[in-house]
Amino acid sequence: MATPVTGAESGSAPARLRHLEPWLYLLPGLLIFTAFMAIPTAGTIILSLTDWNGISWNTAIFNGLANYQRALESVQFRTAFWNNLKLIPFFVLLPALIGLIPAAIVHQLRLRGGRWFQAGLFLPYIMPGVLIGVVWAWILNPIFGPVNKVLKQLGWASPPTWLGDFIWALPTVGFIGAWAAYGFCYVVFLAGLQKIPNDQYEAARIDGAGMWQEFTGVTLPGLRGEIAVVLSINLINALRAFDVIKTTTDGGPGTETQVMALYMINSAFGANQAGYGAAIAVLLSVITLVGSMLILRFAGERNG
Amino acid sequence: MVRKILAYTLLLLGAAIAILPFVVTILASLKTAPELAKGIFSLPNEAQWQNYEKAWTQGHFGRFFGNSIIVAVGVVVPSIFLSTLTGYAFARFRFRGSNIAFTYLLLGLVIPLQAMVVPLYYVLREIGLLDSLVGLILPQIAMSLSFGTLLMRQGFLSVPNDVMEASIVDGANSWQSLWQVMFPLSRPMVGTIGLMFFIWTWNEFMLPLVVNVNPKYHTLPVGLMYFQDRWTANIPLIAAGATIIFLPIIAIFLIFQRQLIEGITQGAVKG
Amino acid sequence: MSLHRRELMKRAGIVSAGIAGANRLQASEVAAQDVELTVWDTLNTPPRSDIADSIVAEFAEAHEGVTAEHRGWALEELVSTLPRSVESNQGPDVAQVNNGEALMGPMIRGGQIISLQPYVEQYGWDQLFPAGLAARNMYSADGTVFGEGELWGVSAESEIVGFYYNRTIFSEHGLEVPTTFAEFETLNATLREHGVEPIAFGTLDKWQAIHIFGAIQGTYTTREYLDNIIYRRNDASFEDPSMLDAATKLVEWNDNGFFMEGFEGINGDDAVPLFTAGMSAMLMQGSWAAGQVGEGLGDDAGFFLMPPHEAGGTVLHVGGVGIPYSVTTNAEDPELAVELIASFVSESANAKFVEAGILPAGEIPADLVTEGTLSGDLYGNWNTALAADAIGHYLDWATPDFYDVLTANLQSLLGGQIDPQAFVTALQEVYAASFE
Repeated sequence: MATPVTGAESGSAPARLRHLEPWLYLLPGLLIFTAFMAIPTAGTIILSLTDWNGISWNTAIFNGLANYQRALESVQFRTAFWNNLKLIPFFVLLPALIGLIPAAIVHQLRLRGGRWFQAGLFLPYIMPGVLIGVVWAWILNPIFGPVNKVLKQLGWASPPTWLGDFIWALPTVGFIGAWAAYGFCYVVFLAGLQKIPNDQYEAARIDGAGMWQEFTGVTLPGLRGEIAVVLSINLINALRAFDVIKTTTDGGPGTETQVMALYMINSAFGANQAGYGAAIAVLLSVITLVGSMLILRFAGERNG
Repeated sequence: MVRKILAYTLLLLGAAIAILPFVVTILASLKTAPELAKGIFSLPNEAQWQNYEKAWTQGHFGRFFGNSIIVAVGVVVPSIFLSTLTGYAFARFRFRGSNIAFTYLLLGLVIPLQAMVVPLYYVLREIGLLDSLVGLILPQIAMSLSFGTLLMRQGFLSVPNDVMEASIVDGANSWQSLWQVMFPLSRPMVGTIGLMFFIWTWNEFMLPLVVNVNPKYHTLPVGLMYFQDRWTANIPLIAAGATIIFLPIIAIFLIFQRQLIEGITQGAVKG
Repeated sequence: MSLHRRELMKRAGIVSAGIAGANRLQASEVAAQDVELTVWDTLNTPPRSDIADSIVAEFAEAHEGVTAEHRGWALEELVSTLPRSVESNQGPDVAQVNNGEALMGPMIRGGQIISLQPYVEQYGWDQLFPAGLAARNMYSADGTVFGEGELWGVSAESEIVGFYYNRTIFSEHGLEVPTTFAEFETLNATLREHGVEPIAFGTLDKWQAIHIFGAIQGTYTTREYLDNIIYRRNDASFEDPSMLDAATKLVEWNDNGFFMEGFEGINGDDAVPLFTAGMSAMLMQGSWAAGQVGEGLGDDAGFFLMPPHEAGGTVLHVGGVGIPYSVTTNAEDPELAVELIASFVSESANAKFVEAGILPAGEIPADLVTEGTLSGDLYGNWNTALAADAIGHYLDWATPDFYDVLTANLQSLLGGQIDPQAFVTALQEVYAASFE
């Protein structure tokens, strides 16, 4: 464990105050977090127990757990949950891989011009969420988009319509999500790589390690903590996925790409069922929390 | 040598896919709407630079630009400072309640903004922060804290034990060892979270609309709203507006990049 | 005094207002000292935003001591912000309130907007639209029954969905505007045979699926049935021959290649430039796209409505009234706010809309309908449909969450995932459940 225990300190502060010390560091953050995150969240939990339509307060009548029961029994929610699961390989593993490989290559090979690749590869992450879907819908547009033009020239008479295709829509949305997310993984890995002491690589090289051995022997273990962080953040984003799907398929075709966050928002704002939407939000948050805690626990705490 | 060529090819391919949508956006911003249908990569007959001028005025970007900068700085700097403190508390101290406090803060990562935005509106109304930039800044600091804490804790944890212990032996108290040793050593993480906070704040679309009814306090992404009405979207203007929004982030990234890559290599060697 | 008022109203453009009681006049003039009026609507891009800006500015100019501000929003933002702001007493005086259970019904029941019924005669609002359309802005006094009772909002615009066509392509292939449904089918088949894409539209972003289905369904249905479905009366059901026939026909058209290849992968908006670039013979779109179509093709584009099965028969066309303007309970001076709404449907406002190629509230003067032009086609068809009370409904109004249900099932139908019978059954299931 990398955490030094307080007993190892110089011992200048009185013991009574010492156990307050971490709380002093936490206090300002906890205060602002409580006011602007925790209290509104508690508000959402309360709303999830009501019939509120989101429009006038006189409809906010307590109805117990009825919203939760309805969500768990509804076909739409189950479909959405299932689609979220199907998106996990695309939203969690794929971006981590796409982020890791170039970061490792640039770092291990000490490539010239690495800075430019770093800048280029990170770019997707800065694109506003509302724009990502719009632009990819053009690129994949079956009529005037470049992808199908190229495919047709290569001899594929009628390539799929991608986002509009019942088989391809989900993988395509997954690919766009991975494109949008890997820049984040990439930067976290780059930052993590800087802390791996150079002599570890040199030692490996003296032992005659190749690229791959350096990768598995030095890079991967050195990034263990970052990998855990990245995977759990990706998982959170996979379960909360909204922007990209809303702006590409809006859950279609049919319900092929319907996901929990989309269902929540459509219920709360589109269908005037704010109480029901709040219940879905709470369910979604609980599922996300459990998932990310599991990843952090299994992958995270053994580093250092 | 072969290895390097292979590596470059791979990186070039990756960079091409990464950049493609940006090229598409910039091209679209210089076309007329009918030209869009002729193919994504076809060049416009005549570059429609006036799209930028139109986007700037129609999207009220002049007014929103200053707000965006104030909000971004107002969120990023305090968020880095507070995340450093909380991350440090969890990395350095073992104390009763540590797990509970950590989980509590992490809750912020799993609550989607859309889920709590309505109650947040009423919190802000109660303390009189609706229609103000402060009302945009404080919630986004709170939203940044979870991620910042997670990453800074990770950053501090991975500082080698002997470095930390050395500073303690030198007689530094926890506050001094944080700012003199640990913080400088964690500059890549600081750079990372700073960059992320900036991007999120800069691109945040929903919060400004909910908190501020008065357009005087809106930020840049809200401007995109003025390019589409109920039925039709003016794609060239959206593309131009988006370009105006993402160019500053690219600049910021290039600045942070030095911090990320070069900062620590030197620091680590010296440390 | 009366002359003064007349002058005022003229300048505000309310010539058609009729005879107003003197009481109202005094109230308005007294209260008109230093009043600030705010209007929120969805007229947020040119030319609409300019029109609304000028209407509101002219209104303020014509009323001493009144300042008025117009603010255009994106629809989704307006819908979510408006009720919250009104509940917090920070809302506007006048706002567009989405029809039906989307917003109007809940806002009436929440005491957030006022009834405009007392002003109907005074402003002649009962003359604006035929009964079928007027009903869409009506609710019972307690806000529980949609489509009848009192008037709660006034629409300044109208909309109708039909088919834009490329005159050059039509004449190249010896085709004429169809007058019957069968002719329309033959026309589509001919185009496909000649290797020309017949009808362009896109269902990737869903909403146009409702329009193409509604257009076909409108040829099989009756006013009474549609009103029953939308106003939720008389145990109407989606298990209806008109629904099943339309679903079957939609699949048949799709199989026969009447729709542009790849339509399921493109957005509705993206189909417009495809049509104006000459890549399809027709475009299914609403009247709101006329400006964009005209920009691309000029008067080489024409417009027709879905033809009936038998020449001279009736078809109910997809379309309706624009989002109505209502007065919120935040309004400091409701009388003045009502008057402002009246200025959105005044003759001068109508002229502004028409000049910009937008369908205004009500009939369009005959001298503006020029044969052989795009706007002439559009206005002529609109006047005809209006006179026949032949403007149908948007089917997604049936229940508040029907948009998602209807579009998902239409995509499944078009994608061959379900058959017409399963489609109708799925819709009825959700519709029936909404009454529980």
